[in-house]
Amino acid sequence: MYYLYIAVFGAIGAAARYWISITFETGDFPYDILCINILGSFLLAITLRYLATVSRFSHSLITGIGIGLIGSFTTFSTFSAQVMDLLLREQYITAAAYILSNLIGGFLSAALGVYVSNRLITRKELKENA
Amino acid sequence: MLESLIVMIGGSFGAVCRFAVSSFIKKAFSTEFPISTLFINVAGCFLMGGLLASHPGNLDQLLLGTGFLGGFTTFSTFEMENVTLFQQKEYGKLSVYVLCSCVISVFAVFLGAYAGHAFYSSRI
Repeated sequence: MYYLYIAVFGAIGAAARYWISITFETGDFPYDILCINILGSFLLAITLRYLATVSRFSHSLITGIGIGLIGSFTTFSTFSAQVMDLLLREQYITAAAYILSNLIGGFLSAALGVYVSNRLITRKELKENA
Repeated sequence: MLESLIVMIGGSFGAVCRFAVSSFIKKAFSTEFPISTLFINVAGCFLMGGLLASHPGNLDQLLLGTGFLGGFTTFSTFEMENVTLFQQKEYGKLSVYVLCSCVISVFAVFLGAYAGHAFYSSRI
């Protein structure tokens, strides 16, 4: 069951990434993948920390959404290939800025996702106990 | 439409392979350090370099690159692991993990591109 969910959701995640990347024409700075990675990091935190604790979704569905949909939506190989491309074109500052914005942006958005999840869970518990 | 379908097929296989490989590595090596994601990202980057060096056609690139390797490697899990290490106050492991992931992955793309180029030109 896990594999079926991951296969179906993985297909949707990859297609969503593809649609975003062909919709936004980027110049030297590939901000389409940057936005995808930052958005995906936030959504994975919400899925693993909030949905996994409060929703009635089965464990295999959560795995399908987290590992399949969002894991496939975000990408590391395209990110590295873009860094290589920038380095080969000797755009060292753009390459460094691109790496740092992915790392810091992704980290902060995942941390924000964890924070929002914790707040939502606390609020829900307070409501239930009131 | 055909392009989207091809990306979906590749992405589906990529995500399933990632889950299978990461489950296998997690079973084989029980360690706190997230080596499964590191291995997957580095391997995917190496293959991406090899693919790009072999000058794939548009549909090959969409199936294998955007679809399969894009779905196989992941950024969101990497960032969640970073946040988890940060919450556990494992700052040393966190720095090593981030540094390893970036440096080795970019190195792997170059290495893959070099290997792919050598392989591709030897066949002509």
